[in-house]
Amino acid sequence: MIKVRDLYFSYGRDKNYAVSGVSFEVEKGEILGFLGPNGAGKSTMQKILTGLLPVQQGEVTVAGHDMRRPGRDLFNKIGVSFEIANNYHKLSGLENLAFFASMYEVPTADPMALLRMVGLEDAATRRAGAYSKGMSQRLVFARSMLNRPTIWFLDEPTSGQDPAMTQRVKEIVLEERERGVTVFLTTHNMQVAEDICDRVAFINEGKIVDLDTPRNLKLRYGEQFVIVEYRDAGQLKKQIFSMGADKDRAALAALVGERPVETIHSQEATLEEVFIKVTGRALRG
Amino acid sequence: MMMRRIGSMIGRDLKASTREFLTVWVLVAPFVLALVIRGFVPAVGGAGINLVVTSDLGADLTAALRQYANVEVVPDRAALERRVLLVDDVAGVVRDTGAGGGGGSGALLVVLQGNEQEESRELPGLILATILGEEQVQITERSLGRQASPIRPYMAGMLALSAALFGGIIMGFAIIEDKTAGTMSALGVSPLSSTEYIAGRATLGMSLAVIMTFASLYIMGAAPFDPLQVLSLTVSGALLAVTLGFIIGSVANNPIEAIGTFKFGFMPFWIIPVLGLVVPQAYQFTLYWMPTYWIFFGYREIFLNQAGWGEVGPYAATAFGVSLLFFAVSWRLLRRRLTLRG
Amino acid sequence: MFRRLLSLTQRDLRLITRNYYLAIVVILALLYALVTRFLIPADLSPQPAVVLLDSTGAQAMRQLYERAGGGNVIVAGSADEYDRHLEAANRIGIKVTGSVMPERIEVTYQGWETEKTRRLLEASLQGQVAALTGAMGTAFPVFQRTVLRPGQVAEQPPFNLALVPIFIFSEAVLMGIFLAGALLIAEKEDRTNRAYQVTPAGTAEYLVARSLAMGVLALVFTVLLNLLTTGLAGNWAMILLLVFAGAVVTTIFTLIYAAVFMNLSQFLAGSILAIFVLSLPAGSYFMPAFSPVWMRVLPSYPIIFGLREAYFPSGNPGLVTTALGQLGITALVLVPLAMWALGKQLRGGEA
Repeated sequence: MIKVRDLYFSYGRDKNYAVSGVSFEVEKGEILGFLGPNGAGKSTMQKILTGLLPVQQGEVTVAGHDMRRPGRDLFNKIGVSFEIANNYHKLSGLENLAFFASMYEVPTADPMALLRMVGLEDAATRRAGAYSKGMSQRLVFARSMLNRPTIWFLDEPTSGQDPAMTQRVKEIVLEERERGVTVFLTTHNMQVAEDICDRVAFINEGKIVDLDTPRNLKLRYGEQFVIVEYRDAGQLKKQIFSMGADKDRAALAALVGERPVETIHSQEATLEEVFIKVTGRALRG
Repeated sequence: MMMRRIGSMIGRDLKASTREFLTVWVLVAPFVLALVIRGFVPAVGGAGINLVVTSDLGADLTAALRQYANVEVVPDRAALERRVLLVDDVAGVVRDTGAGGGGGSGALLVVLQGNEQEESRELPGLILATILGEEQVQITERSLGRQASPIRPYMAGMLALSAALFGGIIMGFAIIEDKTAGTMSALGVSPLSSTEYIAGRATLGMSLAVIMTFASLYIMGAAPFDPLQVLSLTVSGALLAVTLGFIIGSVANNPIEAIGTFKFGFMPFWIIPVLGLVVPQAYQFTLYWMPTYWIFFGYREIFLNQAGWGEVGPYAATAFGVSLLFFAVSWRLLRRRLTLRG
Repeated sequence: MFRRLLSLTQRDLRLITRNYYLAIVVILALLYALVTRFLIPADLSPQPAVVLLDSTGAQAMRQLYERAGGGNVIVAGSADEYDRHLEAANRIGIKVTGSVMPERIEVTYQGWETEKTRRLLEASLQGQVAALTGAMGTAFPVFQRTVLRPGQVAEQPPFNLALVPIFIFSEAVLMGIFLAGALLIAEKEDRTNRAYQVTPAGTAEYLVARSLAMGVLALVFTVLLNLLTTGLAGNWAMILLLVFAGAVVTTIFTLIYAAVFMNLSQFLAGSILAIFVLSLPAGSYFMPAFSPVWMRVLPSYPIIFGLREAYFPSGNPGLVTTALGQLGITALVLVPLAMWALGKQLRGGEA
């Protein structure tokens, strides 16, 4: 559904690339997470894919549209949820959705149903200017579903949401994926990415440094540990063994044979740890 | 400490302004206005009557007519009639060659549309008679030596008012931008107090208003004038403009409301002085409440009569008093609405 | 397409109303009506402009001026009085001497009058003296006049009502200059333009909808002010058509520079300048002979005169058609520019 080949983009149209030689593909019904610290080029990438920035160099196809000349029909097929809420403050939540629904040439979802879906039904007739940050964000999220997009661009959809609402947003995204919707998720929330993404791309300094399923990435870069709790002379003790080191593996085997073991937990590296390892940068840098 | 903070607020504004080419435009706009007025004033002074003649009228007569009126030359009678029928007042002068179906006496004919003002109806014939007939009376001229056009004082007054207004507007809109960009909250978590914020903004607005007034007056060519007299009125103009700027900044929360508030404040600012020119003496008191009335007529005294302090002083004092009253009334609203924190 | 247009117009009208703008327009119309009805006089008596001293035996000049009864003449009884009256600004002195009839006239000017003004006064004095001495038609020839449109003598409306077309021009026709751009700037600031960009709706619909909304608001102001001042007089259909078309074109114009200017202050400075320049032809409205070429090419020039014709018909409907034609041509020039500027703004992103 999305094809990007050798994409370069520079705001100053010079050699100072914000996106540099990026290539990837997203299949139908796939959720691709685009992960990277601030300024890595995530937003630039999403703007190019949604037609907000022009393709300067390289090839980009979205839903069969060549993004050098996307044509207006593209916008009937995609939905975009912005990171920074952008609603008409003087219109109510419902009016905001109704207004944007009328912009599309395809059948649109019932605005009230969408509001209910994101828990805004009680605030439907209140002006969007009076919404909290989280509510505004949910309104933007709901708006991006109006035209029942086949490709869905989500930019930090869970920012400002409480854990329950974050869970709800993740469920909605997974439900849509079941319907065959392709999702391009930009975030620096590694937990969300790990929970719902089929594949993730690590982006740093305008380049994709790796792209694979979260499991493969962790297996490739993350060290696996085993944490063992055991009794030693009546006292509870804890020891960590790396599964990558022969010495540790032998030590673990010896321990299991010699001591009364109470618990054994395997400990995988988090995506975040993997990311730091791959890029040498922390995510919120 | 307080002064340093106010100072750096002003510095930030100036830096932000000059770093962007387009913002410099805001500061330049009043001067463009002054230049337009400078070009406009002599044009009005030169308004006389307009004539259109056909090219067969003869060079001598055409040249003679040019001493009396603005003359356009067109190739033929048809073009002349088209010109006469245009919306402005233009009278035609042609040699009657029978285009109207008559015999064509060759005599000169004045062509009118029918809706001209009296001057344009009567004067063309009199001009021709003066050129072609005998002198009826010996006319000599004397000049009082007053070079300034009579509309110049009014234009200068209006310009001075508008230039001050610009200072206020820039300030008011800077406040709204602080609100919409969220920098208001950023300032709110700094040790800057609300009073310092207002003082910083007001200092900038007042200085801009005063500088712009003087600069645009000089550009327009209103000089010579007594700078102290002008300053005595400009202070009130600047105070009023800053008050208006604060009202806009505190009442409005977004650009649309800002423009609405501005449009509202804008009307009395301009209209009251204009009304002062046409409203009968008995009703003039209905305009006294608006400081621009006093400021405008104060300026008129300065630019019209090169008045002394005896004439300008009362205007300046009243203008300042009324402006101060305006500010005092607005202050309550401002203090409540324009706070950096909650 | 049509549904989108309707929806966009409805959105603009909602935003306008909820920002209290409709209320402001209504209150402004009421204020203008009050000022027109009660403050501005119906008859603007001219200030004395000519001071006359006639020291001839027959006093023919004095009688002529007194018969003419103009409120703009002061007849001085003595040389002292003459000099005193001349002290005031903006007056011209005419001192007539001669034994019986006028033989010499000394004209005293302020000093700023142009050569042409002075020659014109001279010609008119020659004519007056010719009329008094009976030389008119002989030594001082009289020229035939032909009037192309004899029926077209406009009735002079009362001064206060004559101002209504000017108010309509500055508030209704120029309505969009502030507001249309403010809406655009607000969209930039709350980033709703981004949300619009990722829908299939395009620039043309945006432009048309914004223009329609401004047109409607302009009509509200016009209808209110008309009902309260000129009432049912004038050609309402033409007035409304002109105001609507004018508001649409000024909206298109405004959106061009609002898209170019980045923030509110810049936009406002541009607006004030635009209003000032576009309002200059109002000078011609009161002095139709003041019509320099640069002023006649301003798009507002024909609109102001078209409005005058629509309000106070002088039997020359061509003025209204000319104004509409001019608006059409202006729109033809502006629409591509607006599409380009808005397209950059709405589609181009931030780069």
